[in-house]
Amino acid sequence: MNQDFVAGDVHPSSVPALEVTNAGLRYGRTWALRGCFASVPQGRVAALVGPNGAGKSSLMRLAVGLRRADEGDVRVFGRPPRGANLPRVAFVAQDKPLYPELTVAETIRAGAGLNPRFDTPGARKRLDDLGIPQAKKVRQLSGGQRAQVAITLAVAKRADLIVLDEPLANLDPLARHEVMEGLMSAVAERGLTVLLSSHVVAELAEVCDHLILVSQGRVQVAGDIEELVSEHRLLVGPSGTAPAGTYDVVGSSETERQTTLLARVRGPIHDPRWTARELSLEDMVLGYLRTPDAVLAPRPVAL
Amino acid sequence: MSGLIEFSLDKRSGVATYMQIVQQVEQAMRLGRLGPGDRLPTAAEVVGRLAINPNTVLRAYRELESRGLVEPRPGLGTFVQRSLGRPRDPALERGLVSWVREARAAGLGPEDIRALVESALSGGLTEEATA
Amino acid sequence: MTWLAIRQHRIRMISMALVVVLWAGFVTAERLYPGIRGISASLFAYLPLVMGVFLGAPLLSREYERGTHQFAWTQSVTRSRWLAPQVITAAVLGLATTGLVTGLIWWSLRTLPHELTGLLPFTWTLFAVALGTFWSAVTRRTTVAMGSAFFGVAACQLIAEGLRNRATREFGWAPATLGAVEAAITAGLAGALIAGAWWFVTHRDPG
Repeated sequence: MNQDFVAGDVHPSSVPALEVTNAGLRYGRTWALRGCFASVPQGRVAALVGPNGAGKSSLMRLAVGLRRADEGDVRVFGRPPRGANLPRVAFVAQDKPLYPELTVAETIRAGAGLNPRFDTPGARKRLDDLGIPQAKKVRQLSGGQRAQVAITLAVAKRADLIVLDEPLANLDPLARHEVMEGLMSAVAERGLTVLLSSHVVAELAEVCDHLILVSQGRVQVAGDIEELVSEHRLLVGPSGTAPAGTYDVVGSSETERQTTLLARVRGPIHDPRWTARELSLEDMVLGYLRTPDAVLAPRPVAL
Repeated sequence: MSGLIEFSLDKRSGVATYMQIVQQVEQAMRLGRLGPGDRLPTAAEVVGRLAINPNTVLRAYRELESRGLVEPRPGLGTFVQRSLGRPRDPALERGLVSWVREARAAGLGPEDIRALVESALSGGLTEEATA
Repeated sequence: MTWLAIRQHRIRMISMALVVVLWAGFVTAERLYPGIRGISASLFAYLPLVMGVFLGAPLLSREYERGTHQFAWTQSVTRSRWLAPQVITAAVLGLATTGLVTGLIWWSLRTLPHELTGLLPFTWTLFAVALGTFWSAVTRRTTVAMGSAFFGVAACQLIAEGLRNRATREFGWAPATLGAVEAAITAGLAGALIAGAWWFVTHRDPG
């Protein structure tokens, strides 16, 4: 099955893998998420980024059907992530919960019993390739091996969307690389959509092509990473002025002599006193994280 | 089953990842390491080593395809379509090897040598300067 | 999913086997020392406590505590389909243990006291397992659920004892009627408690 696919051919449908519309989620009286909009097209590897406690895990729980939205709507391939739609989405929770008293082989057997489409030979081969002994109990595995087993199970479920909550947390650099290699191989072989969360942006740049930035329970900005990066500029000009042009200001800082703006530009900046500098993904994300109140997520015109 | 070539990435080069792959394929073709009929590694093989987004690899292959260098064969893989390599010229290679030896003997490091070659290529060195 | 439920009950199966061995010991002792005859039956009252604490109470709280509910509930089957084999495995294990212990006591004594006649030992087992499962779903903490199940079952046993005496004394119910009514009530309560646990699992979202 080591064959290339062309993303457009395998995913003819224009239905987003994940569509979050004005979603809100409450823990008691506290809203963990409110007014969230996000959409992940099929075949993408999407990064869910934000500071700890911003609502990343809550958004993921909504996406995999562990929780129901208290407001708004969450859809996976056009339908709620429940009942007959459960086989289409797989979840690897934070800390990769598995039954510690089961062996790896028994864990695979459990996965096969809980999923009609489960790919047992594929799962076994993947673990053999990774050198993970299947006779070992889950509690005897290293953090990296445990992560690989959890991801193997999610892949073998043959879901079309895999959601991973902090898959690289608590792993050493080699294990991080190996986990990502394994995950990306699965994406290449199966053409699936991935949503993974992290609070480390640097490790996502090579892997993800879609971004959802969460802060204080809302989606700040979301979209194709390349488009977002190309639209954002650091504008530097004389203090007390604003450049001419169409743009949204994300954040600004001012000194006695100059003003610095992080802006999402919608057209050229025609102002000789201002310079526009391109940003890296990391700089752009940092700019948003520094100004958690800025919300530039696209919103549908009508609900 | 592994491909004929392996890619490596320079994350600090500032060159987009897909473009690095394009350049490495082109270079391998120029050096004759890849010729017509050779299969490029699949996206799965590449990302299994580099831990990058497979869409990046596919994008690089599409770029190579649009340049007329490779051709996807559904179900089989992506194959090199033509040759960029020139027939080897032993005299030319011998001349280069001896020149590099001279440059080293003159105390030039690899960076100096590269800078000199770049400069000559871009026309920065003239016949008088070398005379 | 049935396989997983049974596999997850392996330790509990061993514990229940030990319970049967324990009663085999009581019964053997009774036969060797007629002076302590009746001990196997009088200790039977503790069996429902064991069922509630060890079979019911850990059922869901162990999942919540280890986060494995996030694994179990994001597979292809619904939570109801996942829960059913778990509850059935615990119930069958409890019933089998109760059957073996009751059989041992009957073999030793040839007569059985009220709480060991007919369906009663089995409906009490179901009730105890169900009460433990209910507290497991509500509290999500194994130790708390175990404590709640222990005191809950013990309290219900005391209440049942009182009601039994009253029914005999004031209404003159025959033992057979009493046994049938008691069995019906305990079985009904077991069903209601399982329904409650199911509601918590399917309708109250995990933390």
